[in-house]
Amino acid sequence: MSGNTSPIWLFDCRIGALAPAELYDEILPDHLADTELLWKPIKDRRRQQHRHWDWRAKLADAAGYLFYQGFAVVAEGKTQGLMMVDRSKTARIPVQQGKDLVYIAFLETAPWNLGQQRLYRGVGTALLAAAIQCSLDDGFRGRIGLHSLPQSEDFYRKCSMTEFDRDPDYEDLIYFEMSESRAAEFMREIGS
Amino acid sequence: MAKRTVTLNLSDRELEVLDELCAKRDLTKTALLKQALRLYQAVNVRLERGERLTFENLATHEKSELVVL
Repeated sequence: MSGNTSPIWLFDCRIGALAPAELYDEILPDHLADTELLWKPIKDRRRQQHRHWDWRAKLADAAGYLFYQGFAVVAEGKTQGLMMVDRSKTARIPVQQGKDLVYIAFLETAPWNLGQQRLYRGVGTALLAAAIQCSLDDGFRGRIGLHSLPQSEDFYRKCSMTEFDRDPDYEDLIYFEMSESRAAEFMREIGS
Repeated sequence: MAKRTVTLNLSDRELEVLDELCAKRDLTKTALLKQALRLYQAVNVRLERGERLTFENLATHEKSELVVL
């Protein structure tokens, strides 16, 4: 694999300790191959809500647009999570309404990192932190937003994101947003 | 991602507009120009696909096309 990487830590549930991982600031062909060869069979078997997600197609749709950026988390040579962000959206929380933010269009962790028997913990948090860092780097002061699948709503509530009503313009999914101040707190809490 | 610094030559009026937009959008000059570039590129990609850029007045539903040369 190539691409720009940053070292991060995930919690390896098998040994009960932190383990090294890498955050990529783009999605590479090897990451896509992992989603097709390793993730998809497990997702199909478990009938997950997002089992139809096709990262190759998502990446093709976003190709060439500067608004979009992909991220990947890799550990033990395998893709542990992917995220695609979109910088064309604006904030909804009244204190930051209309200001640019980093919108998380898609975020997915490897199927073996979900449920009681998961291998790694912290992939979603690492990707959320990457989105906040992207927002800071782009001058958006940490503002991020997203529509959550029902299975992930509790995760975003635990991150203390501001919760809006179900969005009739977006498949009735709940919209969550993180304010600048909450983003700063979140980064302190996770030690970034 | 490697970054490079470029010098930008703007007229007083252009700089004034840039400052106004930065204040309005709560962005630095660099951040605003990056967003402007992303938007301009996205518009160009869509126009090259044969699509049109239109605005709609939410009150009257009147639509007008923005012609990008």
